[in-house]
Amino acid sequence: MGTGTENILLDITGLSKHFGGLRALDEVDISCRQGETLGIIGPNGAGKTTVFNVVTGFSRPTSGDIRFGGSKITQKTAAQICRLGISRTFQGVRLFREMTVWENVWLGQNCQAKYLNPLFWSRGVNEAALRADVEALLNEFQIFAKKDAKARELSFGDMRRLEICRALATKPKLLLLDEPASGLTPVETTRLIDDLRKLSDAGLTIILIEHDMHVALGLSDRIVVLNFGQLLAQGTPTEVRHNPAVIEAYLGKSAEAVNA
Amino acid sequence: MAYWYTVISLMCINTILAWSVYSSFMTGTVSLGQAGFFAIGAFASASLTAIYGWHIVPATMMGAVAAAIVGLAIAIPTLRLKGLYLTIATVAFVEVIRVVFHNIKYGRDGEFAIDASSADARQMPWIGPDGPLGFRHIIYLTEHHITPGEYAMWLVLLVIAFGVYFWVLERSRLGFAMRAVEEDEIAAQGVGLSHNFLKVFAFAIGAAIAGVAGSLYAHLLTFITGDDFNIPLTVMMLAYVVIGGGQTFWGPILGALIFTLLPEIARETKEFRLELFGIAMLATMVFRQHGLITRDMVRRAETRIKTAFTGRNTIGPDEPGAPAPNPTKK
Ligand SMILES: Nc1ncnc2c1ncn2[C@@H]1O[C@H](COP(=O)(O)OP(=O)(O)OP(=O)(O)O)[C@@H](O)[C@H]1O
Ligand SMILES: [Mg+2]
Repeated sequence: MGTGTENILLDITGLSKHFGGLRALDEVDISCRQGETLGIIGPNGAGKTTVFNVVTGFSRPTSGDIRFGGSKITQKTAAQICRLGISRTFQGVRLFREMTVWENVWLGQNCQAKYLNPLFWSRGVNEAALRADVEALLNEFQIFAKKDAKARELSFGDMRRLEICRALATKPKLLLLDEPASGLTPVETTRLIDDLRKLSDAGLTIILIEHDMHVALGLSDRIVVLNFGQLLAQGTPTEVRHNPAVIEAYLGKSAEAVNA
Repeated sequence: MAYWYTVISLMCINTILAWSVYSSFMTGTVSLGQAGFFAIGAFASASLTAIYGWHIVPATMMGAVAAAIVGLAIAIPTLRLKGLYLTIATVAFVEVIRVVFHNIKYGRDGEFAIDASSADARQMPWIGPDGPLGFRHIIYLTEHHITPGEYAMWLVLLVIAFGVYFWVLERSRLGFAMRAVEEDEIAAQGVGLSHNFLKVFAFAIGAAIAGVAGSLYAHLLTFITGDDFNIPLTVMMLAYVVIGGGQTFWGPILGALIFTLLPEIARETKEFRLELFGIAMLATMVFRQHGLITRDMVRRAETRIKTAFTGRNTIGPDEPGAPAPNPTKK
């Protein structure tokens, strides 16, 4: 402990978010190191999605500080934060449903393409290279065959993967995934775990909210446990798994199942 | 013949107006304020040509700029609100503009009469908006000997130019970014698109386009009053887009053409113009939510045209000696 502060990518300190009387987040400190996969777990309504919303600028914190790569991003807009290198997916998948799979990912590149530079075409950016990138991403996530289908015609699992593809197309330094495995079949979940491992091995920093304990404990280097808007525990998956407070508050009766 | 030239000119003006609605429609903003921008363009450019003797081209540009500036002034505070509030604000704006132009008077005495035998010859006609009497004697076209046929031709060229703008826009990243904002503002922000900027930009461009149409209209009719630019007109412009189809720029053309031509061809329908609009709107809502021309139709037509052009003179991939198809090409 104490060391490693030099390569902290995301640093959240004293973060609070109140909705009227409800303290969705209450003085939470979370930090995420460069290259690690951080899991956020906690029961329903614990404030996990709220952390993402505040970090990505979709909602303003009541108080607290968020630093990304050393600079403060607390007051920035969602679009600015994305362009700085934080990309996210949404708990309820949000795609451009009337657009094709290919167009969804292509749009994800808009922040690198500087789409407003000479108004229509992006000077200094190689469109052909960007198109090749789109295809590489679609291939990597095995939805290339469906590139001309409308996003709304996809199966739920494909939608989730497409959303991750689109988030990656922004070339993020930090990827935030809000329950990427929920609603997936076991086969799809296994495939997702493989895909996320590959991303992590390639050096991407990932923060992952997950209900599925196998996914969360299996993928994360470190886990943060939230409960009623407060930080309950944090540590390695093994530490968290054996933390009595966590077992009590979150895992409950299923603790045996997890430890088994 | 001159009559049909006027009809063609009106078709062009209505198409441009429909596109002015379509511009902000692309970002999911429904504007009912286009009649206001239309009026600003009309009065501003007619003032420049009639009172100050400007050439019609820079005058039209200034009309567009004036409309765009007012458009920005309206869009920046209101677009942050949810769609409906903007729509209501734009309706109010049309009323304000109408009342302003109904009461405003500025200009100069005319130096000459159009027709020496008319009463105006002795009265020295007022050049400029004259309150409820309106802005008369916008005689740029006759002064410069531009025939109705020539004017119609220029307008057709202008329509083609705007068409090219939208054609390019719809295929550009900027156009897709606007569509993304229309489909899901939150997801659009999530991929780094500045939704407010895109909405304001599209709205201001739409206002400028309406301003251009205003100039063309004022010079075609030679006489405008504030009351010409009313709420039924603004609703009609929206109807062109809704009925013709708001997914591509082809839809508004069709909407504008149908509703300009129909009253001319079938004169009996002229009286029921508004009723016909209402019925057509309702029918569209019920049977074709995306209007007559949808994006899928356009895409299918495009691929058909592409294959018709390329299918014949390229060698099929199965034939021996044919180059391998490039898998990375979309
Ligand atoms: N915009 C909002 N307005 C009011 N209350 C909200 C808002 N967003 C979230 N909340 C409340 O804040 C609390 C935390 O919500 P949050 O969505 O962060 O939970 P979560 O941990 O993501 O839960 P889940 O596992 O169900 O996704 C909940 O009680 C929720 O009802
Ligand atoms: Mg959540």
